[in-house]
Amino acid sequence: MRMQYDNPILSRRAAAVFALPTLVFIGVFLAFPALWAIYIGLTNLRLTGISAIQPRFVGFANFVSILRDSFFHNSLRITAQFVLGSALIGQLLLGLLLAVLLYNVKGPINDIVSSIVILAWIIPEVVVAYLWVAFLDYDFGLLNATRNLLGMPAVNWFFSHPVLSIIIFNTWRGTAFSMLLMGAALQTIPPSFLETADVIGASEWRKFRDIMLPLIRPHIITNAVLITIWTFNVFGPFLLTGGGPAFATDLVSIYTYRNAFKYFKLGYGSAISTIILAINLILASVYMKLARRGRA
Amino acid sequence: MPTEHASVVLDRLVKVFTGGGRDVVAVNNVSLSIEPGELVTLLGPSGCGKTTALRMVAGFEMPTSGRVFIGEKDVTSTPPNSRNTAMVFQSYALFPHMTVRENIGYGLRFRNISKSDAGQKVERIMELVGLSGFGDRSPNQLSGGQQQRVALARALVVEPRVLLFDEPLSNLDAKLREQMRGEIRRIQKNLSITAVYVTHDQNEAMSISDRVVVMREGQIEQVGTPEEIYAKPSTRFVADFVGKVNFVPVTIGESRGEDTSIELFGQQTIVPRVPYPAGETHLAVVRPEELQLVPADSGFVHGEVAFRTYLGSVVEYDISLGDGSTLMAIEYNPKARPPFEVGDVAGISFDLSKLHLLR
Ligand SMILES: Nc1ncnc2c1ncn2[C@@H]1O[C@H](COP(=O)(O)OP(=O)(O)O)[C@@H](O)[C@H]1O
Ligand SMILES: [Mg+2]
Repeated sequence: MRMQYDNPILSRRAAAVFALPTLVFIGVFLAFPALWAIYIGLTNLRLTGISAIQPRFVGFANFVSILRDSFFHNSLRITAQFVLGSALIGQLLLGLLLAVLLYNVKGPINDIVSSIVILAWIIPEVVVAYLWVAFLDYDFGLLNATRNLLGMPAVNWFFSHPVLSIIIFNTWRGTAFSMLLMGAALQTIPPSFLETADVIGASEWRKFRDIMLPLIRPHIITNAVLITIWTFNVFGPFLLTGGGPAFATDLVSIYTYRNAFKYFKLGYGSAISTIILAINLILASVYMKLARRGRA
Repeated sequence: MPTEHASVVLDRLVKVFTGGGRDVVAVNNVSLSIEPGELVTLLGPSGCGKTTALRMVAGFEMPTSGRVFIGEKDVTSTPPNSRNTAMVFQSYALFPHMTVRENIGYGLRFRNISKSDAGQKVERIMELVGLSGFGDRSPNQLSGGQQQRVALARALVVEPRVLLFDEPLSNLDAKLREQMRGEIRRIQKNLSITAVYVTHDQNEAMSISDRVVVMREGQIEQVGTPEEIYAKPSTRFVADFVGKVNFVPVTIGESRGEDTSIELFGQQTIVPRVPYPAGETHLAVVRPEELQLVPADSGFVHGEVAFRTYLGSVVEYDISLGDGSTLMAIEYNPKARPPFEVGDVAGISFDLSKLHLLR
């Protein structure tokens, strides 16, 4: 519904004056870099050599070769697994599960669990990555040391289960956000709703399915949008695996980084970023459609 | 509608809330027996433990000690969804993502009945509470009164053994409140459902209840029919909470045969025998409407009209007595006699044979 103001407090022109600083800020710090990146993607700009000084306009050449690049296909496939595994199944589902469990548990257990989960979230990423390496390393890792003690063979986790390793790492790292967001969403449900359902016979599961879930649905979708996009662009797993072994964990973010800063192909890297941006926009709009359908 | 009527018994219920470094005794040793089909109201000021007591019947709160029985069965540790009760909240608690029909039918999803039977039950209940034709609306398209009807219908349709109300009418305006309490009473009697009704509104309690339980600071102050509670309050608190009242100090004199001599307003008189020894002082509970204003030269005492409030159907007077105390008098049918004006001296007479003394 559109609001109609008969007597606007500000005239259109005065309003524009007040909005101007914001627009300038957004323009300088957000819109300009994005547009610049799109433009660079249309050139053969490099970090070194001739085309560092005199980049040439190459049209969609970068885009064509990216879309043909089997490494790009590989990184998209791995990223899809990574997003599905660590964002949707991992963080979202696990976060929701933890939030629902904690909703029904009060007291010290609640405090302890949420503290641990939140700790995983606020520790700097580099430290977290180091901790995971310390835990999973083939030669020195705590897990293999324990297995040795128990007479089990050591496993090279990053080698035998590379994608699973980074999925677990990212799930562990990001679940707190979903848990907090879902917990806050659950707090918006008046307790009397659940109590009403309770006395007329609903089980815990039915209260969740019939009352909680539909009422927090918009929050779930918002959460899904945010963590999908974050996970899509996350770079932290590089600290763990460097994209290997043999490109097995070569996420699009790592693929982009390799091309732009290892092979110094800035134009090419910018073109990849533009494609990723487009994919993110498409994902977001799909979620928004889902949200709208839920409301109708 | 075949509802299995159940009695409700609270046996020495205690609820202590701990936390914040200090204990709150919300319900303190409450025992109460409610007959099948009876509507009992828990009445008392805010914070006296009414809601907590009700929530222990529903099973939302675990008693610190004591037991709850529904239909002779000890349900103290039965979870809420197996007690076969239903609750109507002040906030209605209608599910916003369901239509009126879905809201009302929600509890039937957990009963063993076919879809078509469930649909018929819902329609019948909607008719009973006056909601026919509103089934497809969303709750937020209804007025407050209609929303409360949906909440009531949703509770009724599952044929609970006990119906629980927590201040169900407090969000409605005065006129609607009176209308709805009449309807709740009618429906509850028709279906003869056992009901526990919580309110802080004494008019609501009086008009709707078979029996009223007056609570104070977690304890029961008095249990009785509305008439008993009003005419024969057992404590000063009850007398004061239920309606307007004058407390008149009475000094007990000698009792002889059927009579006792007493002194009030500095005058000796004889009343039907009271069970208190000579020399004690007790408060008499005198309701304002028991006092009749008469010409100054007659009546038991007289005083000056200090204040007069005209309310249409009644006139309220504050009469200052010589000893500095004030009596409240209410005159019904103000047209019957020319009214007293402020400053007039009026005589006061009342029926001493009906005097109710507090212990
Ligand atoms: N969950 C709770 N935790 C702590 N104290 C509570 C809780 N519920 C109620 N109380 C306290 O118990 C007392 C009785 O409350 P309540 O039963 O809600 O009173 P009423 O319904 O008569 O207004 C109050 O002092 C209230 O603050
Ligand atoms: Mg209350």
